[in-house]
Amino acid sequence: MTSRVLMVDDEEDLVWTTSRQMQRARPDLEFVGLSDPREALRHVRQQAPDLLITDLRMPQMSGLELLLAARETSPDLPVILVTAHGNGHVRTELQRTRAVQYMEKPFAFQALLDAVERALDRPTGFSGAISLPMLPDLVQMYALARMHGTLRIARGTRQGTLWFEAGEIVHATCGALTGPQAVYELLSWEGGAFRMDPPSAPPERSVQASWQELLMEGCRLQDEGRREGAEATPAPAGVTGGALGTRAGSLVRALNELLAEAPAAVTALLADLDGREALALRAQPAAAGWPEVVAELLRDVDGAVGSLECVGPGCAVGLAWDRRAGLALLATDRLGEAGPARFRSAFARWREAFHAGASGKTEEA
Amino acid sequence: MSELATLCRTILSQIEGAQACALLELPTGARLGEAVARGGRPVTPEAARAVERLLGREGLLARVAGAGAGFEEAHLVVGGLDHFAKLLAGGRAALLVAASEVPSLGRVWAQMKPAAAALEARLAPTGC
Repeated sequence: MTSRVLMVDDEEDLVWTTSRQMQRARPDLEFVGLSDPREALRHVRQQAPDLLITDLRMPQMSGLELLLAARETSPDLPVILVTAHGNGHVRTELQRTRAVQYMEKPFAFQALLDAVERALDRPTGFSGAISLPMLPDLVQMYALARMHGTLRIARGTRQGTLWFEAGEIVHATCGALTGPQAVYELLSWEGGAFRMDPPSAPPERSVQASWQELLMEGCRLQDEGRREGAEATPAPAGVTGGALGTRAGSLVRALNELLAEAPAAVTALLADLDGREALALRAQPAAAGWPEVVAELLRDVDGAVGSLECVGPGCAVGLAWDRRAGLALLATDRLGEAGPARFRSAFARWREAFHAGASGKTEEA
Repeated sequence: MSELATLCRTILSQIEGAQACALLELPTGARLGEAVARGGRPVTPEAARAVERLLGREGLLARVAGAGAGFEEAHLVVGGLDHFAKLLAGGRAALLVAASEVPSLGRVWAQMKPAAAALEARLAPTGC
């Protein structure tokens, strides 16, 4: 039976060229090239193709909207997403674990042909790509399509929300978690229902990391979780993928497990002692300037390893450092009625975990 | 022995694990009184300086935490010792106790309260 391939891209020249090349390379295929996604959707609804190739950013309708609409009538439709805004590193990382197929412009025709043949050869097609069982796929598509909106995700009784602005996640919540921690928790959900609502102002801006960094770290954590035979840990980090993120991964995980129980007023970050990099464990917007603060503080405090806590009216600050490992943990608490005792008790556990993790890293080095 | 040094010695005996006790004038860091346990080491200049920096004025930490006022209590763990510090006399002085093998942070802080109150009572009439 002849396979039908439908390609849609608002770059008419690209569609025309690809059609000609495809007809020569695979005359056995029925290849339809369109420049209007709305027309493509009508095609899909009338007779579902065996493969849909779609650009992500198109003026009339985004590739994501087309994909979601097509999915309503053809839930198993294989799709190749084409974008000029991809990130090769992220794409490679995601494709390692996902069924989504991405093509970046400009692409060589042979690369597209290979992708088409892989898609058509699959007995079950890209069911993963179309049924979108994994949130990272969905996040990447929203990001690449530069979407604005609020993505609401539900899994059983649990719920989470991601606020997108121009494709970037600016705020995230998941139960009591906010910021990158919430993103990582949501990324670890294998399944669930989602709904994209129109743009709404986020109640705060708890995420500073780019969507690429969030996805990379989310994938890495899931990989580690699988390797350890455990569920992916809901955890780290605002700034990821850099030297600190790589070096301090297990420490961050341990700290996040402890911090998960902390009240919302607690903010914490792991910082590079030279003040170049901070990894927000429980982020807040002010976290951006903290590495410099840590570095300045430590200029006046001796000792290779140590900690300090300060309590004042309505606030507490804790700092633990390990100069040998080049790491510091900084935490603050806007003290409520509970007073400083709760923070002191909690920070004692955090600094213990910090020193254990940091000294472990030192030994490895 | 001055009255403040005597008070420091009393405080030393009242706080579990205490090795040394000092009453610091702020912001100069001058020691108004001091006591050291038998076999213990005096409060180091580094620890005193750190406490002076942390408590003596509205410092960096206060700005980070968004607090309007400076910090009133500090706990510094360095060189194998726990240092407990408490601001006194409206910020004109600080009590600093260095301790080892502290069984419970909460208990030490509880023991610091009456010690600080005793010093406050001594400092209040005359200033320092």
